[in-house]
Amino acid sequence: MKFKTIVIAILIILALLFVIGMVNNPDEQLLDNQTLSSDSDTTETTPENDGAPDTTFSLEQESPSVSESDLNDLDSELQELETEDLTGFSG
Amino acid sequence: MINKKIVLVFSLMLLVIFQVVAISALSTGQAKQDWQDAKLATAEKRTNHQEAKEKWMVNKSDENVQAHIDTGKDLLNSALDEAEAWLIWKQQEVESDESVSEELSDQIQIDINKNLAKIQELRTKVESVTTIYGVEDGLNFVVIGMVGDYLRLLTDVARDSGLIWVEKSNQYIDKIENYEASLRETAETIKNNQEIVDFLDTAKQNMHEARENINKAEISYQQVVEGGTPLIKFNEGNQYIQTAKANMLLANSNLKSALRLML
Repeated sequence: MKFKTIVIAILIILALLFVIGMVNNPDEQLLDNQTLSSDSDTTETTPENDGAPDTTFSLEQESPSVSESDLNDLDSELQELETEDLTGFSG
Repeated sequence: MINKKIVLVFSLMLLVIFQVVAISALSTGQAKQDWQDAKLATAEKRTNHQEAKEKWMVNKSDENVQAHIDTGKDLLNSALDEAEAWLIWKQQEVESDESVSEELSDQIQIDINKNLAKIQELRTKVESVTTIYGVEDGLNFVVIGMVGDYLRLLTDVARDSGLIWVEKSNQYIDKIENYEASLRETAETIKNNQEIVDFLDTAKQNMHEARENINKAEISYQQVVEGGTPLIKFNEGNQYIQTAKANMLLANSNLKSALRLML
């Protein structure tokens, strides 16, 4: 009985992690942005938008395959690139 | 019952994996600590030798002569311990770094083993010291001979270390170039994309400068050889790598600015 409870608890935790992962998935967020911008495209011709820089996604526009977290990860990797000074070596 | 066995096997596998990762990290960290400890020990032995030398200069008694020789031998052995600890640390670092190419990794292992053997030869020379001024067994004679040998011990592996940094820098710059190309492709599908393209162009310029500095670093490191000016060339290579790092961080920052405008 106790063993079954542990297994069920693990399964629930895994399910929660899966759900959290889905919520934080950047691709999903990009998809949301695309959906929103598709809606906003219909208001593009209104006089208020004339002349303003339009960086919203059009229906033909691709979503970037690079995410901000990719660039942040690269930043951390670059920070770790350290050379060593051998002039302090005893001799 | 079967489920319990599966859970047990799974837990054991996880434990083994964590153990291997922990031991690997520990041994590299420990090897670095050993090198730093060896450096401190050398500094201490140098002070002891200096004190013994000063006493010997004032009074050349048998006791002071012997102390001069003994502390000198201790100092030489300690310097060799330091070089050995550094080589061992480098060996473990390369073994645990999967991003180092097999070719470079093999070359480093050869150089390290060659120099570890050389250290044993030098220890024999130090052991043979019995006088201060003797031709074959004199402390001063051995010290003069060891100056060049000591530098040679570090030269090969210093060059190899530099080439590892070049290899890693090239991997990073390749990655940044891929990101830039990908973002540019997306930017071309956006209307009024001038500001985004400007950021990408600046990033491209940063990457070009980084590539140039990495190439210059490689040339400098290749010149870290016996008979030349290895330490000067090594430091020169280091400076190019540090500049390339700054170029790459700047390029990455420009890519981030471009990406933010796309989202």
